[in-house]
Order: sequence, then structure tokens, then C-alpha cells
Amino acid sequence: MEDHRTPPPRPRPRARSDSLTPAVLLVENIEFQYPHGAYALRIDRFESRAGSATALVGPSGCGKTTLLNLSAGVLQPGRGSIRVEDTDLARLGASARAGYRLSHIGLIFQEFELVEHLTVRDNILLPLHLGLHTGRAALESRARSLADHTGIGQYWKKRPDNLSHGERQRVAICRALSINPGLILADEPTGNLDPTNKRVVLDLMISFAKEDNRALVIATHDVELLDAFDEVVQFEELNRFERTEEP
Amino acid sequence: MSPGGIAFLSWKYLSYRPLRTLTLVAAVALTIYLPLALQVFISESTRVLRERARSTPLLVGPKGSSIDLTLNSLYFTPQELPSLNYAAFLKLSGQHFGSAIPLHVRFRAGNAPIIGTSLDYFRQRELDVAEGRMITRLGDCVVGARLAAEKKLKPGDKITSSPENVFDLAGVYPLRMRVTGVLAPNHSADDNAVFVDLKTAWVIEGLAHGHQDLVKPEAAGAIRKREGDLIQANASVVEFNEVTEANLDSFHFHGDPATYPLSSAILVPDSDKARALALGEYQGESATEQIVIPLEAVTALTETLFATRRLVLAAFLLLGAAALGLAALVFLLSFRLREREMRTYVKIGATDFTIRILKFTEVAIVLVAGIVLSLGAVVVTRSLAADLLPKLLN
Repeated sequence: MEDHRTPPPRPRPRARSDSLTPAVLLVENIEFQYPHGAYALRIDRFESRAGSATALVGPSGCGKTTLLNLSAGVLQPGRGSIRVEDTDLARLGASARAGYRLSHIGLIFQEFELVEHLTVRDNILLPLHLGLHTGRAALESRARSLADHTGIGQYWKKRPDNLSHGERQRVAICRALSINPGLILADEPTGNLDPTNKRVVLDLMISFAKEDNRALVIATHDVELLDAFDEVVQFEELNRFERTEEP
Repeated sequence: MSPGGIAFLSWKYLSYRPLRTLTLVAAVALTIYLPLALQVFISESTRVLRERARSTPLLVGPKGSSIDLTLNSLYFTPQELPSLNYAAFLKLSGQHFGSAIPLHVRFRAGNAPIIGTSLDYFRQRELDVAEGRMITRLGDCVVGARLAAEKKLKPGDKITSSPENVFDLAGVYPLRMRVTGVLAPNHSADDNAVFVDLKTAWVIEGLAHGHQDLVKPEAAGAIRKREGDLIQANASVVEFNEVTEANLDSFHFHGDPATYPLSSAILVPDSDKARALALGEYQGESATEQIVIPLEAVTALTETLFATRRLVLAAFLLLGAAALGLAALVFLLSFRLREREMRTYVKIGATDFTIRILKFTEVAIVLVAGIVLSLGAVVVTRSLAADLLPKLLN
């Protein structure tokens, strides 16, 4: 079932964030290489500030997902620092990084990555089930309010396979926002949506980010949506790794 | 890591795939249950067999397999041996070794054996009438507690013996018997039996019957020839298939009672000396009957059971190992198929340790459910073993 509802009005973009606004994500001098040397990445500086929406643009396979995974602490750089709200993820062990990610970073995936055997409620509360130490009642209340706000409250007890693509993506957004994260990282979140839903979902994410002063980084190759972002970063310009270099 | 959350996620997945989960639980349960149940069943059966054998001091019966004689007399299994003449029983009674109790175990009413015996049997087995009263005349019967419950029999009801062969027109006639009482349960083969007086068993055998009184004028149509006191009836004479107060007196026996058949006799010796004398009496080569100590026969039987048990146990263990191997393979394949789900958990913030615990919890839930189910089934098997044994033997 596709979602064909009229998209809500797009929020007015705020002024482009400046250097006075604190950087929620600050990536500095990192180098990363996959174990078998298939791909390498070298970035001098990349940042995303509170209340800003940053688009990370580039063709498929250029390394956007790798940077997002590094920023979330899923991957560990060979050197350099990745600071999220004053915590250098590069200095944390795997377990500590996972714990930090669980409570501070909201992740949204292209394929939604909803768990098919869980209801909408339990998908949104997944961080709680995975060990997030926070008040269950408060988190559940926030999750419910997010679901109502995004129009999926009526599916609270349904499984994701009963939902349209647009609705599934909203569940994924609610899951990322349920922990009230300072940083939201989204990997091609509109890649599987029709044009109407792309705009709806993107507006939703940007409005949530701006309302609560979060930093939002979205990896995309969808150029027609770029006007909605405060900042657009061409990934190929960001990555200083020379293709001629031996990885 | 949140233990409650992990348990919740594990349970959600298992309940999302109920058929797969139930199959795995059943595989685990069967793997544990079969060898355990076999052990329990054999040990419980041995206990029950020995207990009943112990309460049956000696058995006298036709020569042949002592185990067949014991099982027929104690568990009313179909009679495999030839009959014991009533004359042999009278001889045994006359030797004053102790109390001799006749047993006639040949006929059935449906699946229930019909036991022709004397009132001494009920005293020996400590069987009391729980409802109604004891047998008082020909054609009466008392039924075991389980049989009464299964067939909803109560005093005043009727129960009919089964023909041995429905195609044998010359065979025994079914006899409709009056249920006068229901016995209290004693958790043995007695609970599933119909008890009649020995003479009633002989009526079923066809050795006695009742029919129209041919002397009376109304029976004139049934008379073929009359020569003085000798009356020859034709085929229209009515033979009764039920003993009633009205026709009771018309029942009479034919032939020499000494040749009437029994299955065996229980001998309860008065003393050790009487026991020794009885054993000596039947151990000579010239003896036409055998005397059996049921406890020894049962011990021989259980030794065979124990020997068989080892083979069956080995087979069960092999099967169990195969079933557990398959269950492990199902888990491994399932986890491989769910790799993407696990990666999502990791990306959201689960540690590798949490993922391992999640997988372990799913396996543990299935194992625990299988173990609980199998142990529950073993307890039920143990409680049913005593009641199940007579049915299995029959």
C-alpha cells in the first residue's frame, strides 16, 4: 500500500548554520581502509552543526555510507578523530562506541531495516530492547507521540509488512528519533520512495532536526532534493584519498 | 544490554515462527523424552509386574511357557497354552496346600477380558465392590473401575461377551450379562476386566445353556420327535442368550465337569511347608501340569526387557543426536538468514556480545521449553505406566 497523502507544507529553511553554532559532528584527519584494501578514505575535516541539515552527495559506491558508518562509530578509523557532542568515538572501544551510538545517534537506512517480526511499536522501541538505559515510560510516550505526529500511530500494533514504503520509512525515522539523539545520520533514506513520498519524508526529517536543534546528515544521490538542505557537501571533494595511491 | 529486552526480542522471533519453533521444541523434547520415558516405563513396569507377581504366590497351569502362563493369569493376556482340566483344579484343592482359586481367561467383552473365577479371587486381590454388589447368580458380573468409567457402566447395566469368531456359526454364543457391581480401582489389570462366576464362563464356553422347557405345551412346535421320556427338539427351539430370573432354572450343564476347562489356578499356600510340598508335587516329570512362581517368571521377563532396553536406548540416543544435529543446523541456517537483522541491531547500537546473547537466548528458550515439555511428559508417563501396562500386554 503506497502512501499518497498530500505532503505537509515544507518548513522554511533556517539560516545556514555558522561557526557560532556548535558542531555536533566533527570529523578530523581521519584515514580508513577496509581490511582487504578494497577501498580507502582520507578526510581532513567534515562537520555538521546543530539545527542544520547537511547533504552528502556523490554517486553510488563513492564512500558516503562508509563516512556515515565512521561517524556513527560502526567503523573505526585508522587514525584521526570523530567527535560527536564532545565524545571522540575514535578513542572508544567497540562496546563503548555501540553504547554511545545506542543512546546518542539516530540512524536511518535506505532499506528502512525494520524488523519484520516486531510491531511498529517494538520497532520504534528497538533501542530500548537492545539495552538503552532510559526511562521506559518516557521513551514509550515519546515513541507514541512521534508515531502520532508522523501519521503512523494507527499502525502501532501492526507489523511492518502491513505498511506502505512511505509508512515504513516513517517508522524508521521514529525509531531514530525515539532516543532524542543530537545527531541523525541517514543513508539514502529516500532511495526507495516515489517522488511524492521522497519529499514528505525528507521534509519530516529536516523539520524534526531543526525543531529540536539536531544535526542531520543525509547521504544521497538524489539531486532534485538538494534545495531542502542547509549545506551540500560533494563527497568526492571531501575524500582526499588519491585513486592512484595504493590502498 | 538489557536482559529483559533480549528475552523479549528472542521470544518475539520464536513466536513469529510458531511452526518452526514448535518443531524445534518437539525435536528437543522427543530427544530427551524417548530414552527417559523408556527408562521410566521399564522401571515402573518392572515395579508393577513384580508387585502383582509378589501378591500371587503360586500358579498351577498346563505345561508350557511359564511366562505365558504368568501373563495370562496376572494380566489376562490371550491364552496361549492349552486348558487346565477342572479335575486337575479339584485335585489341587483336595491336596490342602492352601487356597486354590480358579481362573478362566479366554473370552472378552469388546477389549475387556472376561475372568471366570471364585469369590476367593477378590479377597486375594483385596478387591472391594465400590458400587452395587458382588456376583450372586449365574449370568452376573462385576466390572473393573477403569472399564466401568470408560464404558459408563453401572449396576443394572448389561454387557455382552464377544463371539470369538463372527464367521463361526457353530462357535460360542454371546452371553448378555447383568452388571451387579463396579469394583474399586486397584491400578492393575483387574481394573479393565469383567469378572464372572466360573460357571458363567462355562456358559459362554457353551458347556451350559438354557432353553425352552420342551415338556410345556407351548413348546410343542419345537418338538421333532418324542419317544417316551426322550424328547428331540427341532431347530426352532429357543436358546437363551441371557440369564434372567425367569429362565435361570432352565440352565443346565452337559458333559463331564471334570473335563471343563480352566486357564490356571492361583495357589495361596497356608505355610512354607505347604508351599514346598506344592512345588514338589508338580515338579516331577510325570506331572501333567506345571507350577510357576510368578515372581521368578516376571524376573526372567524383566531381565529380557532390560536387555532389550539397552538396544532401544542406543537407538534412541542415535536418533536423538541426529535430531539435535538437525535442530542445530536449523538454528545456524536461521541465524545466517537473519544476518541483516543482526547487522541492523549492531548499527543501532547492540554490541557483538548482545548479539551472541540474543542468539543464545533463542536457543535456550527452545531447549528449556523442550526439557520442560519432556520432563512433564515423563511425569505423565510414570503416572500412566501402571495403567498402561495391562493394555500394552493385551
